[in-house]
Amino acid sequence: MSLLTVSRATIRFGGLVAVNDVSFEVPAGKLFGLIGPNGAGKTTCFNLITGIYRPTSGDIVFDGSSIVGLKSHQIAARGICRTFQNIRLFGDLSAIENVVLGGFLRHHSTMVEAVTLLPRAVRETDGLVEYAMHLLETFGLADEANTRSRDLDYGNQRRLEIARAMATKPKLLLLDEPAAGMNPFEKIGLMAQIRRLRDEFGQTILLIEHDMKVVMGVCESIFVLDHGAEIAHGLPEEIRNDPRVIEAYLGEPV
Amino acid sequence: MNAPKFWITRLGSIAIVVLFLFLLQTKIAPALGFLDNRLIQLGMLYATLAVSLNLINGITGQFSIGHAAFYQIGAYSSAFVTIHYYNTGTIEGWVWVLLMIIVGAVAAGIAGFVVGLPSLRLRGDYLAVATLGFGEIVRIIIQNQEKLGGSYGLTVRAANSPEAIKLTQIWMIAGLAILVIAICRNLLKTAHGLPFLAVREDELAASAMGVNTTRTKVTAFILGAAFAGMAGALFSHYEGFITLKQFDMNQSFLIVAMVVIGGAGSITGAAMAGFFLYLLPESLRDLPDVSGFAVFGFVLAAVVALTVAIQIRKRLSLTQAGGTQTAFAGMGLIGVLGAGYLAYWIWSVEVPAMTQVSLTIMCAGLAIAMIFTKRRIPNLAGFGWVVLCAGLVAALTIPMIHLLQSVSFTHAILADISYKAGNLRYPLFAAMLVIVMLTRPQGMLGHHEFSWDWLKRIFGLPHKRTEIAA
Repeated sequence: MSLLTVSRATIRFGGLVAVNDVSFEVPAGKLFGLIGPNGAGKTTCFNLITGIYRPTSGDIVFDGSSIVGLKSHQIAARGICRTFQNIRLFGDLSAIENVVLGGFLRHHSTMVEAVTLLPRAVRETDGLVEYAMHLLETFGLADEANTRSRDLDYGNQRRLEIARAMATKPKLLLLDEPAAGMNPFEKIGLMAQIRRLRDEFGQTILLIEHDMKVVMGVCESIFVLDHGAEIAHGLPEEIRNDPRVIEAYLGEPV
Repeated sequence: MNAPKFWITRLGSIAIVVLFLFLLQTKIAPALGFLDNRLIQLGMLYATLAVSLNLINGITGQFSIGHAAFYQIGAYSSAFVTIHYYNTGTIEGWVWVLLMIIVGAVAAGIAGFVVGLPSLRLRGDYLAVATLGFGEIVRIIIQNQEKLGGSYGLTVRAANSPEAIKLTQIWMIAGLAILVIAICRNLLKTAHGLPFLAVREDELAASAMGVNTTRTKVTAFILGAAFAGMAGALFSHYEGFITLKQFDMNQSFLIVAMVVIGGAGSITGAAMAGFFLYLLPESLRDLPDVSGFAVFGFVLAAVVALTVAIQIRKRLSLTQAGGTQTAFAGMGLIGVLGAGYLAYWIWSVEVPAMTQVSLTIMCAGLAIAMIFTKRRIPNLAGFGWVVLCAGLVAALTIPMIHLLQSVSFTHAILADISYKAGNLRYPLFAAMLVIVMLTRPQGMLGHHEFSWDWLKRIFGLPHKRTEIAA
């Protein structure tokens, strides 16, 4: 059974149909790519899945139940977490605080316990900090743990965003252009990291990316959007040779 | 953390607080005069207000500028209950005040919930306008309630006696301040503080990480309002008489200014700013009148001196090692000696003890900080520039006064004007706000907390790196 099923999702902003009758399925444990030219509706798809927008029609089923109409934080609690195309870290908080916040979703202690510093709240905070440190190490950010996230360099900010999302222990991770603004060397590192997430954590990932090397390199299944509608889906080789995709997006075979 | 250590630290810190409150009540407060006692108590109430507003403004980032309304609701609701029910039962003394604190907290907390709701839709400036409007609504409603005294004010008294009852003791006010600071500090010490900070930083990202932003914002408003309501209950039972003027828009802005100057987001910054910004202007009350010539002469001198000094700073390099820097550092050294002497002088003259202590600590602290920092020469040079400014102002003030007196036009305007020093508090306060905002827009402490490690880092002493210190 697939983890996420988007069926006939449509959203209109006034006269503009940003996403038109799109259906796809993300199977558990897969690396799933979402590509298309600028303005094709990829990020809008993400916003539909994470509850920032509500689809005009259609259904989104995650892990066996519909998530349409739920608030963002409820969807995050169900196990979908994302990164943003334009990095949205908590700028004035340190790297580790960003990641600890990601794990906060799973806390149990109450606010009363926190303000009286009862052992459970302290223990839980210590546990979250420890787990966050482990994640930072996984992403090679351990040395920057106490740096304000605003002061990190661009590649590290991108990695920190993924680490923060991973801290929520999501069942489905949505990455919105994780390689944007990275140099070729960093992209290779990023691809390795994404693959490691899948292999070590068994992470299901839905990925938006413009860099074809990254997409073709890591994704096992690709879905192509243009003008808000599906034009193709399939394995990377099929997509690479699909004439409609070449015409709308790729330009020439890569 | 293991169990014995937990109980030792927790009970130990509570014991220390209780001991401190006991000493404050029985030893320290009686040793001070009436005025000093009053200043300290009101200063601590303002510290409480600043810290409670900081929870809403600084930590959660919801710009609210109607905080005096919550203070007012706490004061009036508790006064109302006292007037109707005091002496009808067996509860009296500090237990009654404790009850009234709860009444004030609940009433203000409900108001905080009501104000918190628009914050779900309004951001930034719009929310500020809404909270400002709320503050005015509260004031106008109370003004038109006869049972609440309306414009005449309300005497806090028992129903069967005309005498005001003043039940609040200094230990309650200090205790509340410590409690509020402790709650905010503990909140930020655990992961529970992070959702509040995350909402301040980026609401959309916070909700994508599973933070219930609605609940977080409303919680901040309820908590901040309830704290202010507690302070209000203590205030009404301290004064024995409350009027609308004690809670007007000026008060709201004063509290906002305290938070902003202290550093929005810094608990210790807000607490210190609340205490000292109330105290320092208040201590000007007793000074003699100032003539209009002196005030405007000083302002003119300050403008000219700053213009000159800023040009000097632009043309000379104070940050690079060299002759100029050494010369300015020398000037800074003279300034340090001057500050040291000033501390000694203030200590020896007759002024209220609170003013004396705080000014002495400031001067001595400045002198010590300048000598013992790691980057001694550049810091001294920077301070030397400040000394230059002060010297220029001092040197120019007398000629400027003469100038104003000799020109017939200004002489005619200013000859009959003199100001009470107490009335110059707010212009001074405003000037201070402008200077802080120009030189340090993030406030004195920024988002940081005062800590001994922070102090050690400034002085270049060995310190530990903090793990999670929001």
